[in-house]
Amino acid sequence: MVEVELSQLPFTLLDEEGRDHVRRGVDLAYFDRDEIILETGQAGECVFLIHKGEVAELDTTLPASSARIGHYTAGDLFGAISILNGKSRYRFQAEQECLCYIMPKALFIQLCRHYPEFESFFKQSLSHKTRLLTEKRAEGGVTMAGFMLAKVSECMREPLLMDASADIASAVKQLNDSHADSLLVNTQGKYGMVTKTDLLNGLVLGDCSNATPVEAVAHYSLVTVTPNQYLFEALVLMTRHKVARVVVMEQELLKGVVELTDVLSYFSSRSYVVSLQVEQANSLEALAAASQRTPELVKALMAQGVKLRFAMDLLAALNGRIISKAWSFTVDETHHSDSCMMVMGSEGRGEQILKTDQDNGLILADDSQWPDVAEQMQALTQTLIRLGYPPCPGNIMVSNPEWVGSVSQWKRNIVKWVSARDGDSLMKLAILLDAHAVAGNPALLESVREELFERCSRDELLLSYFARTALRFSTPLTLFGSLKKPQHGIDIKKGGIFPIVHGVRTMALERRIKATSTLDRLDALAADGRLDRRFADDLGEALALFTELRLKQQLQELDTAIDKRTNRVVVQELSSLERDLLREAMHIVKDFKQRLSHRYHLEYS
Amino acid sequence: MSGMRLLDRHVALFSGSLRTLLQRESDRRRCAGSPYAWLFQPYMGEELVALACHASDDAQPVISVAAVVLDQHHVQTSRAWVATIANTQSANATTLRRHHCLYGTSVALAPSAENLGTLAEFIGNRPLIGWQLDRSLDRLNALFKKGLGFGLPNAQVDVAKLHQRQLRRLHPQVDIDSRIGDALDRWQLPTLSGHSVLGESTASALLYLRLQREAE
Repeated sequence: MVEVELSQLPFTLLDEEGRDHVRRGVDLAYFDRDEIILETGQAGECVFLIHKGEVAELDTTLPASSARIGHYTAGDLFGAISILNGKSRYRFQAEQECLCYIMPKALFIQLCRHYPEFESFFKQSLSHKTRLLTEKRAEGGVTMAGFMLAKVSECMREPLLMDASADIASAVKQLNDSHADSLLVNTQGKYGMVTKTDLLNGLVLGDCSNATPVEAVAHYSLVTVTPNQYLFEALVLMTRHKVARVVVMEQELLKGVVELTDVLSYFSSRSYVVSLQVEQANSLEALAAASQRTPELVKALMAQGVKLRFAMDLLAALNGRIISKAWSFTVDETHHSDSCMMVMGSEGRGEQILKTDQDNGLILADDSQWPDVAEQMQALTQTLIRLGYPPCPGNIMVSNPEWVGSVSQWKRNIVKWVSARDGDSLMKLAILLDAHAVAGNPALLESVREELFERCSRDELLLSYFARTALRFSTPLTLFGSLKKPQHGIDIKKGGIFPIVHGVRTMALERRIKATSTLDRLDALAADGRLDRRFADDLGEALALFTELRLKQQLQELDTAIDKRTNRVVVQELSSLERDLLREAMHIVKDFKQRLSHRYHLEYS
Repeated sequence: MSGMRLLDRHVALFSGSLRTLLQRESDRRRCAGSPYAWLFQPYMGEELVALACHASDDAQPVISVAAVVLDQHHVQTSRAWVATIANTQSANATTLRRHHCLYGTSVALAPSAENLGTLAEFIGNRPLIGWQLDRSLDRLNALFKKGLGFGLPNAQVDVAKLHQRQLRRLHPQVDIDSRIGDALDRWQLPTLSGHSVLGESTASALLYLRLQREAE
């Protein structure tokens, strides 16, 4: 009865003698449902180790919907931090009948004194919690520290300098070409600022014409900062002087311009900056630099808690723009109308958040004349590699002649794959089904897709073969419905993401749904009546959860610079709330698999 | 304290057969001048003592005892009284060792007036609870009478009977098992591992707390 489970952290940090002290020193306590175990502000008198039952940690200052900030179940420990802090910051309330071991304060402090590692465990989780809290408070995106410490030099733009005698017409042209809002002119050693508003006022309200020199509309009272000043100082200056841009000067030398939009975007998520950089890029180097910044953008978005679906949309749009830019740099303009570049796989579904391998292909119009297509496509693949898209291990790239073909060749391929129905063909069909046009003439892809639907959507036998792959990996749940906990973690891609994506893809093929993103497909399937709305929403949420967990893992690996990406999530490292969510999501996957096997008759295959 | 509970307590004090009642009264009068007189006072506090014993029938009795104090929330396992009461010189050494291993006791105390006195003082005049309490008290009281001249006068609650009553109220048809393990399962309490006396007394304490809440 007093055999306390001491085989896990933090008790493993004690030696046998210390554990014996714990065993002798603990009492038992019994709490009713909804009973308050430790009240906010109450002095911490003991550490609680839950033997049975569940306890919620509530922040009573928050509204009821968000008050629940922690959840403890059997084996978890709470109250230690209240002792270290002197009093409890939150309310601990039993959610079910609870049986807890309680360790008196004196014993706990004695243990802390004798075993420094034991103490640091709690100190660490205290700082961990504090950090979590500050991060939650700093919901302005980049954490508060980042906000306060950013320097002007991190956020300034190249100045756009023009001759003072240039006319307004050329100034407007220059502004449009460089996607800028303002330009600087230099007259007699003084700098003047011309903004779009100045030009507009000069042309409409003033008596200027297209040929008037720009210096007539320029302002010469400039607000300046140095590159080493903090960015928020620039923001303060803008507010004080009611201007939208300040000029960066260093020892009488012009260094750059900081615009209000840049500052705000920097403090929110930098999404605007990155997309602007992509648009402004007029060389491969500039594009590569912009492309390099996307992981930073992802991190900022995740820190802000942006819903994954919108983050995915944003990233898909950005990746699409980057690839289409790369395309326009390498491929001659004459070929743009009679060819279509498509991205496939996760990129095609718009579910690629960090850059994974490139999966792409090319469709040519039947009557196109393009003799050096092979060389150009080789160059395009190399360009994409330079932009940070690693090559595809399966060689599904435009540099591979197999993935370049005319519309009729593609249609012949589809017929061939449908009749072959072996693993390789089915995989190719699945890849093609996710294709999304990023550059060139999208009508070509539409006609290929039409053929694909025509050949497949009524072929029950093919659909059955096609769907079978979704059941290939088992769901990591035990016989009793709890999560499996292998030491190296569960493979979240095989166990969670793949069955949903592939199952939904199969249904989309059957129902001829043209959307390629899984979430859009789910919406379409629900509208079509093939899935009921609630289940479709559940599946979408489950997918978002898996993707988020995987993304967290990948971002961590990005930090530690391990070049091998894994999809493994170690259940033991998750918080109990995340664990619960993951378990629920896995159950949804299991349910979905059952529905699939019922619909496509996979019971005996 | 509500009047009802006060009444409960006094009724509990007078429970038991007429013979034990008279016995207790005569004990009280006899011990009026002794240091143990306070044990016969009615208890007015909130605490109880959960008791468990295991006895071996040898020529020399060997009894392992555990007593744990509990109140409405806490079971003070860290301040439990656990020992094997036996005559260390004359008792069978094997039996003694078996008691130490099986029932998880680490000290052996001779059944002297002094040692029994510490147990009596630990229990005080608090009510006693336990699983099939009368059975274990029989053996213990025999020792007490020999050593101190009186049996434990405390009010008693048999958790096994409490369990049966609650269970019959909920499921009139049920067959009631008299093992503590089944009772713990039935009320979804952690199961007992091993036979330690401390474990059993803690289990009966938890069972009592659980059943009290059930009754409210």
